[in-house]
Amino acid sequence: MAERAKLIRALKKHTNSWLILGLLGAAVILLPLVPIILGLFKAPNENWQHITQYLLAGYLLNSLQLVALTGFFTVTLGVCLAWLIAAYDFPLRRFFRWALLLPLAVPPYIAAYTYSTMFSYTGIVQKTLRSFDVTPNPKWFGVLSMRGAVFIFTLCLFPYVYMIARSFFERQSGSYIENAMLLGRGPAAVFFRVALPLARPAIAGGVALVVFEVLGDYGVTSYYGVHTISTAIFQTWFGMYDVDSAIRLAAYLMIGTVGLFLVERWVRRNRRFSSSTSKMRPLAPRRLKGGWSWAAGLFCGSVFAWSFLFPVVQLGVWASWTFESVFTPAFGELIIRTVSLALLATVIIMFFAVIVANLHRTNANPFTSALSRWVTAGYSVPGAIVAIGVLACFIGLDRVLAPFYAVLGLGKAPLVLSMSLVMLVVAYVVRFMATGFNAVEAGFERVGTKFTEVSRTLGFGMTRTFLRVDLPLIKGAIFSGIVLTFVEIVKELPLAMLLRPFNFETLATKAYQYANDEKIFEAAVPSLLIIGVSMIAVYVLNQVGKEAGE
Amino acid sequence: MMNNRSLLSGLAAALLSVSLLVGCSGGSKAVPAATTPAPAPTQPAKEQVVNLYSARNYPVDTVLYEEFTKQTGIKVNVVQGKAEELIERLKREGESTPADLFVTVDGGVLNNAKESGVLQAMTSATIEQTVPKALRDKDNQWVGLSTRARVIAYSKERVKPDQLSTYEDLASAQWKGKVLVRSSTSLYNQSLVAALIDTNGEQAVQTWAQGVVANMARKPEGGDRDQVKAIAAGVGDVAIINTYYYGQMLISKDAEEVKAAEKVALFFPNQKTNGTHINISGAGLTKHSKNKENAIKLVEFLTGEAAQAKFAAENFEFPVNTKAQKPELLKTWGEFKTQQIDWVKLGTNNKKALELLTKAAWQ
Amino acid sequence: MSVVDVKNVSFAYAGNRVPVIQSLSFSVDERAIVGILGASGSGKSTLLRIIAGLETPCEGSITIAGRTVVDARTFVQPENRGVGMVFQDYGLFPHLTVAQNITFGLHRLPREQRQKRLAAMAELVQLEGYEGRFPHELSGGQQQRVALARALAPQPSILLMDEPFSNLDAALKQSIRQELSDILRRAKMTCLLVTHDEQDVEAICDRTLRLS
Repeated sequence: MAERAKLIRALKKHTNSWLILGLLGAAVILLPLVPIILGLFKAPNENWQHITQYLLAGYLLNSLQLVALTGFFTVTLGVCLAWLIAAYDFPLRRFFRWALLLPLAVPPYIAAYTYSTMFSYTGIVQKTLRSFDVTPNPKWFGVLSMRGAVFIFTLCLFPYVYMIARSFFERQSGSYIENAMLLGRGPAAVFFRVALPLARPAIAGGVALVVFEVLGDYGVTSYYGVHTISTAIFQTWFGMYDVDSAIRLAAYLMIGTVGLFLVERWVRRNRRFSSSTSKMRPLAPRRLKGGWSWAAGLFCGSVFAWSFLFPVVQLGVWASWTFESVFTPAFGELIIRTVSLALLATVIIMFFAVIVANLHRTNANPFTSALSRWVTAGYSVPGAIVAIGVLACFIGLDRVLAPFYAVLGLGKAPLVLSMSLVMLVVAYVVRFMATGFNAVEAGFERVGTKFTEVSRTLGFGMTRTFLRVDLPLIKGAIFSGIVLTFVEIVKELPLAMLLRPFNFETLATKAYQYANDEKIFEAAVPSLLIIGVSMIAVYVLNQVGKEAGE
Repeated sequence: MMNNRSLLSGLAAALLSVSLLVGCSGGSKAVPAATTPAPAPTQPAKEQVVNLYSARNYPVDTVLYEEFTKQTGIKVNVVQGKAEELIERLKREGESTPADLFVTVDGGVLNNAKESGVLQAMTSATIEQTVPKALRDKDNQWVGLSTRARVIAYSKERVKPDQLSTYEDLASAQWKGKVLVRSSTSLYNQSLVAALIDTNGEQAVQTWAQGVVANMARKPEGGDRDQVKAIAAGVGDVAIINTYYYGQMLISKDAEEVKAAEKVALFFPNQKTNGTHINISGAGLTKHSKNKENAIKLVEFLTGEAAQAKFAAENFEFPVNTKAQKPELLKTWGEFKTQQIDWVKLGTNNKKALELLTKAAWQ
Repeated sequence: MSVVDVKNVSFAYAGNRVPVIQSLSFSVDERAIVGILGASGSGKSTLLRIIAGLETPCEGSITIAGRTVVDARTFVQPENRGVGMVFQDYGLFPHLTVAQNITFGLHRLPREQRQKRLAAMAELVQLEGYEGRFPHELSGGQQQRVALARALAPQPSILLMDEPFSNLDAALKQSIRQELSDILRRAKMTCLLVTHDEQDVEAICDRTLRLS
């Protein structure tokens, strides 16, 4: 009796519009993942044996190698750059501070094609060498390999780590770092013993995105001939015509990835470093002297050049060759369409990301933590598999709504929702919840629950507290979440490919149309437009950040 | 509490309606944007359309669809995607599907669509006349639109054409460390191997695949163009590539690519045996098509002489209509004997091919 | 008449079997200032959080100003309990000014009254002239007074203070204790004050409650 009363009390206590909306959002996100999970319960067919016998072990190993190497290099590069920019002052620091985010604007598969062409026999590098009568061994330039894939992913994805780590160092670590310095530790010790461990939750959030992206990728890996779990999924589907086994593999991939992050969170369960004082003193950068300052500038400069400048300039040159034949006035509308679609999906994502993250923060229990992990699961499987799940749900929904359509006079069992953009928008939400959610969660972790509790005792409910207290405090995190998500969606390909309505193109599908046909020169025009749109978004983020006073 | 609830649900409602609004307006906007509609004066009240799910996405396709609309007033709507994804979509949509035609590259995939039960026979005397029987499904569930040959590219410098003979020969000792080919994930390779299994049997092809892997100049990487470049660079001497990509390189905007392609020549293998392997592009009529007549009209148009000549001229594909005019480059390659393939076998063999390639460690 | 009645309250953190607080009962009379003493880890701060509604007890009931705020079937949200709380590190909103911090809990009052109340509070804690400043521009003692004013402004039925002097240096402590005692008595406040320092209790409180 007492137990039951308590349960009712708990239900009453937690039931509010946040929970209802959170559950609603979670349902929308999780429903399309259900068909994937269900794939596990179907009896495996005869292909499954071939897959496990010949494909799985080797491909799994490749995946792990790729993830480990990319993870290592993105963290090294991202954290070093973040530390350099946050803790030191050197020439062009203010420019690099935001310019190092720009590689996010470059879709990895475009970077992959661009670099492989640049380094190929006919590319600029070997051509230039030949013009000096140097004929190098072409094998030196073999980027089409594991090595190349790690190179591309590192350059394209390190900004995730850089962005989160930098904002952590800049805003949070001032007093700790200064304390450590006062305790007589050298710069290296301060970095390794204080800054790095403190930044671990932030870095974990960034690496999570990197790992998700690498595991879900098919474009870069298939072109570079690196056979990963994603390759196995598509081999099974496209080569063996066996969509069931493909979904089964994807389900394992999804569970594996989500499990990985549950473990990571469990490992640091007792280490919530939300700051212990209300005084979050920003770190004051120290001026570097002489050679060191030039070295720092040079380091940032070369990372910027390789990750952004070189590929973009190269694309620019190619675009100038093909501009006339490729560019049409229709591109104007293509841009507007891509941007408005991405904005809409981003707004919905941020709305639900905030709700779920806030729920999890204020009622940390196994249910909400599971919820918060699973809403991000869509990012861990290849987009094409998510697309199948979304498609299945929408066609099901259209079947359910068929009587209603009939009343409206739309004919017998038509496909209305699954032929509309609603399907694509929902798919974006399912897939890119993670980028929005991780940013918001990092913001909340930084702020802690203290201010929320104060506000609650002052008579503000959860919603007003959120609007008056939490929102202003995590504004920066929300903006970075918006930009990350927006840029992801602008670059997105597989969902847009499969789920779009008739005659619907985005910049990414246009770029793919050429790149897939090995026409990288023609693909340069839409690619540059994708990069341009994303660049503007990153620039706006930077300006907004400045106004918010960082 | 009440306050919170109304505030939030208000927000949610606003979001939802915005999303629906944009969703709808986006959808309707999409239609006029695609092609320039030229309403024919005789057009009936309801707009005539034909809806395509296409895994082929070349600029020449769009040009031809526009041409078709201009001639007939029938608007062509397209969803582009990957072949298997589109088949999956067709399967799941069932009778509700809006699609009339499924267009893709590769006979194996076309056969798979047929096997999946998403196609139906199209009956047209015109098509039966213009498209040779070998380039159609035997039940006419799909019809070929164009073909490309998978040939051997070789270094003009280091290889004499009389050293070359067949695909089978690429496993022989004379090509040790000289063979270039892309990954087994490529549908073109799977399809070639599937066809070889049909003629030589699984056992022989398994040995052949291992032989080719042993002869490889490097691990498979990149696309077909990359293999041509690798020959130019001297990494290897011979490569298995598609005629289409070689043609594209010859008209590349990059002078270096043209130079690289010029160092390489094409050899059409198996002329003295069973013929060169071809890839076929085709269009299938969907089982639940709602614009059947329009769909067949479009296929008739695409297989007609004018459209076929355009496929050949702009995309370096071989026309299926023998009367169609061929461009200079295709003429220089001359007439060649093509492999007579049973498309059904190509479909069923594809899985075997993939298994065999993985066993041979053809990456 | 008692303002707060705590009956048989037990509390354990999730996943922890050993309760931090076990069957605790006490009551606080109107205008009394009660000190809660105990070593760290004895659950004194937790007790305040339970009363404020920031934690839920597993057993027992609490009544504030005659209304049951928590028992086996009831749970009143913190914002509806009418308690004021001064947190150990004050929790002043960094993005709001002193005035905005103090008037934060007065959102139900009309503008005019809010201004009046602000003026009264600023006078009470002697911070006139500081209204436009941001928290990081204040000294530790000033910050504490802002936090106090903020908690008192909505006229709660009880004020909960968690280690109010822990962040102040010894010299300040002496004078602030006196100040706080004066303020509370002038405001006619009922107060529960958590501390680990006997001297705090001696200086301010009418009564002491020891937790072990």
